[in-house]
Amino acid sequence: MIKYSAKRILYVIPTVLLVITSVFLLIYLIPGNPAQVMLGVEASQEEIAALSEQLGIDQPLLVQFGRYLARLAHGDFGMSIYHKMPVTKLFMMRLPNTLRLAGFAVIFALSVAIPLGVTAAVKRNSIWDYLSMLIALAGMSVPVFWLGILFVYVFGFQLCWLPISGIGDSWYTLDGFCHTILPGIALSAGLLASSTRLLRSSMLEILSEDYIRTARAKGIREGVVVYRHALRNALNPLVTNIALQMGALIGGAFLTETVFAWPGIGRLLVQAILRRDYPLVQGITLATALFVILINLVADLCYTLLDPKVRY
Amino acid sequence: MLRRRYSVLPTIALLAMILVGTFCFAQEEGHYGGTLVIATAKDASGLDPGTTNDNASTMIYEQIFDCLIAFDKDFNIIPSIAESWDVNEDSTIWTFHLRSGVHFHDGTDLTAEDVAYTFDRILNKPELASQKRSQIVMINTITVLDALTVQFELSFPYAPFLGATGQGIVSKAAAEAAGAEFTRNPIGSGPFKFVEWVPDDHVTLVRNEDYWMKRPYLETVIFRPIPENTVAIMSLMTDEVNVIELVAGDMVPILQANPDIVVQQVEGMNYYWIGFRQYASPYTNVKFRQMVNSAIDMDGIIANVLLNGTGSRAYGVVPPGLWPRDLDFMKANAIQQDKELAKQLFAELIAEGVMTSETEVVFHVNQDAVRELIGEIIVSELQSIGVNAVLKISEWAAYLDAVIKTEEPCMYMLGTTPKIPDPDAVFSWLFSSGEDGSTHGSLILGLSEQPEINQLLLEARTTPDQSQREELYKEIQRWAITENAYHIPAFHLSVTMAHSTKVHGLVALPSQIWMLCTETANVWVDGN
Repeated sequence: MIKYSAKRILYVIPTVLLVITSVFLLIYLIPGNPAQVMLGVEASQEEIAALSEQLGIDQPLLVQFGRYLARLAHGDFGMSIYHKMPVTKLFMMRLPNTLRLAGFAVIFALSVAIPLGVTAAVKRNSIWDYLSMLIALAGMSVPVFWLGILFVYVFGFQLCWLPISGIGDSWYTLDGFCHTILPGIALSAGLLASSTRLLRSSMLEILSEDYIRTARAKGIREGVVVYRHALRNALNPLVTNIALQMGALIGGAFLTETVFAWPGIGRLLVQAILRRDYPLVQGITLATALFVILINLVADLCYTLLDPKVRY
Repeated sequence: MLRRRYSVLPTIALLAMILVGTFCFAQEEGHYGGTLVIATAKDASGLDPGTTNDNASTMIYEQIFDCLIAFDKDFNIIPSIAESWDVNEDSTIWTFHLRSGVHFHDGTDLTAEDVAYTFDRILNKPELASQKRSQIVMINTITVLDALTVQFELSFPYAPFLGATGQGIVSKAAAEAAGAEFTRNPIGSGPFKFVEWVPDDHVTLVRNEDYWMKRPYLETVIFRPIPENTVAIMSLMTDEVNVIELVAGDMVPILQANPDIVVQQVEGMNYYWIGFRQYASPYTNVKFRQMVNSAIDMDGIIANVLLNGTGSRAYGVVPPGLWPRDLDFMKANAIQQDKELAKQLFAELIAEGVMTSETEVVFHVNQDAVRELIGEIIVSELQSIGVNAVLKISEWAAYLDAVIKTEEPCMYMLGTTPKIPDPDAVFSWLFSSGEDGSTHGSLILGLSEQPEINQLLLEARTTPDQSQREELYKEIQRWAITENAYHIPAFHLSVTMAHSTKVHGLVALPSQIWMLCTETANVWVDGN
């Protein structure tokens, strides 16, 4: 287990280096000058040249990359060109907001997906099964931003049940919770859909196993058979799915945050790309990549807890 | 007897009218307290008036800071922090006499030292990367004569200088102490004090109880960035916000039909045009530019793209609200759509060897629903007369690279909003390539150097005689548009603002200045 974890952590190093290099190259290769964007179309060439020099973006690409790596080695993600603030500070300011949204989305998705997926498998071809398939199909095919606007229109505008935009008060207050509901549910759609489908098929497979038949033959209650014996073994693919969906979840957060005017990391990244705020784009992408890698690592380690047969 | 009765009736009627009038007037009187929530399209980039110049930031810091001068609703310059000013004969030395008893929000006095510091840091602090520098680059020296008198000496006479002094006065002590953080902790002397800025969520201001001019009615003002226009409109309709600064054209009728919402629309002080980067043939050829102009139905484009009054046709470069628009002449001489003429000019260009039917004519626009649609229409109009026109759409940063950084000959679409309400702010940038402290926009935008025009522009910006300036700008405009077709004037975007009927005293202005508490305005809200 320890050996496996160490090996997995070592694998992270080349992945991160690859991410750093590709993000650095990608942002520099697309056209656009941050000094020009900051100073606007009416700035003189002299003003743009002076700001470019001040920001260090007039240096050759390799020099800039070397400086970036040197700073990174010291744990310094640099200063945002646009906000004139350390990238780490900006990131940490927004991180709780995105975590609040993503956390709500994961909890909501699993709270709906697990009972729905299990019921769909246990009562195959029933109304529950068709409902789960419908939800899965809709959740996978409807774009997050469209779903967001639909929620705003129906629940915020027509029914006036919930606030339309913004983050509200702190997460633990009623106001904060109410502000999280609509964007959180919109964001959860993809994860909810894929988890329901996956759990259903996984449960169907497990429910036809011999040991389940044996458990039933021994007279164990159906609820115990389903939830203690079958569900636990069906959870492994679900954990993999959650880990894989984290990237999509963060990608969805970029859109959801824009629709609901949510001050999170996604919106910050979109604006940073449009403004060619190189250090901020690099910082957020790197942190997001590390987060996804970490989640996948945790998911791998979780398998041993869920399934005693799995050994590393 | 009868005559006496008749003489009493008008008196009663008059008294009744006075009473009703008094009552109505009393109804229009504002009341103190309440919160105004304004939905903006973007978040501020910074709240230091010395550095940023974008609309989202300006609309907020204008409430926090005062300037030496102010503008009334008709763009007339009126005193503000400067009670009065003197100027020498050749308009190179300006002396401002400051109002006494003005305090910053931290309680310290506003003095001439603060005024001098405000202008000096814009000019001489490169680390600020101020976007205001080009507006006041003509200032040579700044001298503090006494605690309430400051003098500016210009390196050349500059007629619009008074307008250029509209820079938010910062507290020297607070700005120096805060350093780079001043942009997130601004301290001014304006009607509202800064409370907090949660980036991408809200900026909160509260009433400055000691404001020298008057006590603002509003207790709190909150600016909330909501990037999705549809969501902003629904937020207005459900009372989550009280005002939205910009309304998309297709949403105007929906809001107008709502009895609880007021839509205000005025022509904006801006100018959008289709330009030619004249680095190579055929873009350098006046016949080519006229051909493009003749192929386009600009009236049709505006009617079908800028819906419900969200834009009006431009005939010249001077935006609404500025002078001299010279509208009679410019309208009479505007090139109208004439496909036959366009085809004929195209044939002549081919015959003269200027271009062939294969020559690719590239039209760059940036990602924006309105500009993309206009681009598609123009390109299809050109294709319909046989021109091999191609539309290239890119996001803003890449677009700026294409139309400013490279020397690629092409057509492009841009807009400008004068930073000070003076024609020099438009003309110098668009057409000057001279060494006069302007930003040489004409060269950036691909016009060749024109020494005579540089001379005319220099004369127009230095002469104090208003009528002479008007004539000079008219001459330059006619030269650029009517004679040479350097630009195809496209449109002026309207300022379309919507607010709840609970909001009183708010007026949409062409300059998009938000007058929440000024000499002529004091906004208030009902019901809280």
